[in-house]
Amino acid sequence: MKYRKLIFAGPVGVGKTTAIASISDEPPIQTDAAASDLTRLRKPATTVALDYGVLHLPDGGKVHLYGTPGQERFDFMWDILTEGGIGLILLIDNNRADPLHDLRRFLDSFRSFVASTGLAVGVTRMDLKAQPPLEAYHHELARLGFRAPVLEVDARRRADVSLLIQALLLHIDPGLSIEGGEHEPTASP
Amino acid sequence: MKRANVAILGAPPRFHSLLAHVLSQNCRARVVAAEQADICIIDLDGHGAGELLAAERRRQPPRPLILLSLREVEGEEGVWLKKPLQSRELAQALERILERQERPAPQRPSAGADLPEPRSPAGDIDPTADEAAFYEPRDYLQNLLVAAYRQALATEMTLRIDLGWEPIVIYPRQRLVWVDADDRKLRAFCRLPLHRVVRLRGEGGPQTVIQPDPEAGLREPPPGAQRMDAFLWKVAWWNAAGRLPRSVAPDRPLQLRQWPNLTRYWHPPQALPIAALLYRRAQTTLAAARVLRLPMAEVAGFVSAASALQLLRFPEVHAAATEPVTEAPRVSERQGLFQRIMKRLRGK
Ligand SMILES: Nc1nc2c(ncn2[C@@H]2O[C@H](COP(=O)(O)OP(=O)(O)OP(=O)(O)O)[C@@H](O)[C@H]2O)c(=O)[nH]1
Ligand SMILES: [Mg+2]
Repeated sequence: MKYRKLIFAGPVGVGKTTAIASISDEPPIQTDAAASDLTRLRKPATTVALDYGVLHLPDGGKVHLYGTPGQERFDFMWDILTEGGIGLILLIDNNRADPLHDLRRFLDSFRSFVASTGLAVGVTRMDLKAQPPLEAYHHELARLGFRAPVLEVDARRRADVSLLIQALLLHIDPGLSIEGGEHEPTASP
Repeated sequence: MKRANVAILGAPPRFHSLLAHVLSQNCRARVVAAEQADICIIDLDGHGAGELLAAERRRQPPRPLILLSLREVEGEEGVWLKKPLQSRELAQALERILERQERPAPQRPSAGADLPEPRSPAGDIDPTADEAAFYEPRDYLQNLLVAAYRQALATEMTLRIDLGWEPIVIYPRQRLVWVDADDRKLRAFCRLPLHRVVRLRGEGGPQTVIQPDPEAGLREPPPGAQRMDAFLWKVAWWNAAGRLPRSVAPDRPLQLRQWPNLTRYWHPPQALPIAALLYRRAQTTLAAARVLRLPMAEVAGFVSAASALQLLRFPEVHAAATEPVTEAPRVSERQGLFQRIMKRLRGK
C-alpha cells in the first residue's frame, strides 16, 4: 500500500537511530557497526544500512519507520528508500560545526521527495548548543523556498519525536483532527 | 433568547474545558472572562479558590455564584453543586438563576421558549454568533514581562519583577526565568489584571516593579527555572483567558511566520492544528475557528501567545485570498491513514 513509510534523515550522529527507537512499537532493527572511518571520532557506533522501526495503528495496520544512514557514502540509497514515503523527518544536529550547511545539503538531496510529500525539521542537541536559534532555520528554509515546521527535539524523548511527526502530518493536511490532553513540556530547560 | 455570560474560576485546565464544553453545548451560556461575567462558577477544590470566593463576595454589585466542590459547603450564598457533577444539574442550576433574573421582566417568555436552544454537535457552534472578547495585554503580566526581558537582555543584568506576589527573576545570560509558583498558581495569577494585584509604590508605573537583582545575578538560576520564551508563551495564553489582544481584530488576516516551538511550550492539544493552519496560509481568527470547528476562545489563546512572541505577521491580503476553506474536507485514503497515525501517537 502507498503512503506507509516515514523517512528519517540527517547527518551522522544527529539521533536518527535514537528517534526511531524512542517511537517504535517493536525493538528497532539496527545495522550499526563500529565506526571504521572518520565517523569514529564522533561516536562509537554508526548506522551502515538502515534503521527500521514500526508504528502499529489502532486498526491493525502499520507504518514503517526508516532511517537513512548518515554517512555520505550511502547517499545513493535515498531514492529507493523514499519511494512511497509519507514525508521527511529531517533531523539536524545543532552541535555540529555548520548545521545550516547540513540543512542545505539534505534539502538539496531530498528536494523532489519533499516537494511531492512534506517536511518537518527537528533540531537536536540544542541542550548542548543553543545557537543557531530556530529562527535561523526558518530563514534558511525560506531562502531555499521551503516552508515547514521546525521544532526543537531531543531524539531520546518520545514526546518530542511524536510531536514532530504530528507536526509533519498536520502540515501536510491541516484538516486532521486531534484528541488528547494538554502538553506539559519536560521541565528541564 | 439571551445567553448568559458565565465565568469559570479556579478550575484546573481539563475540568475548565469540560465545564466550558457543557456550558456551551447544554446550557444557555457563553463562557467569558471573569470581568465580563454575569454569573460565576467557582471550583472550590481548585487552587486559590478561597481568595477567588472572597473576591466575589466583596464584589459590587454582587453576581450569582455556582459553587462546585467535593464536600458540602455550609453557610455560603449561591447554588452549591456536589462533585462529581452531572451536566444536567449544572444546566438546571443555571436555568434557575436565569429564570430568577428574568422574572422581573414585564413579559415572561412562553414555556416553549424556556427550553434550552437545540443542541448542536460538538464544535458546530458558529463562532461568529458570539461576539469576540478582547483584552489589553498592557494591563497584564505579559507586557511587563516583555519590558523586563528587553531591559534584562539589553543590560545583561539579572532583574526581578515585584508585584507583591511571588517575585519573578529574569536571568538574561541563561535566558531563564524563575518564579516560585507552579503552573496552576501562575495560571490563576495570570487571570488577574495587574491593577488588581500590584501594590504600586508611590507614583511610579510598572517601571518601579522591575528592579535589578544583583544578588540573584551572582548565583546560578535555581533548578526549576524556565526558559524565557516558553514562560512568556504560557503567560500570554493565560492572560488572554480566551480573549484576543485588543489590537488583533477577529477579522484581521494573520499568519504564523514560523511554528511555535511546541515541543517546549505548554499547549492544549488543539494548538497543533491551529499552528498548522495559521502557518499554511493567512487566515482571520474567526475563519480559523470556523474551519477547525473550535471555540473562538481556544484560537484566541493561541493567537495571543503567538502574538506575544512576535510569531505573527499581518499581511495586507485581498479578501479573496483569506476566504476560509469552507468545503467539507475530503476524507481521502491518505487522510484516514494520517488520522490513525495521529490517534496512535496521541494515544499513549
Ligand atoms: N544531548 C543530546 N543527545 C542527543 C540528542 N538527541 C540524540 N542524542 C544522542 O545522540 C547520540 C547519537 O544518536 P544516534 O541515534 O546514534 O545518531 P544517528 O543519527 O543514528 O547516527 P548515524 O547512524 O551514525 O548516522 C545518541 O547517544 C543519542 O542519545 C539531544 O537532543 N541531546
Ligand atoms: Mg544511526
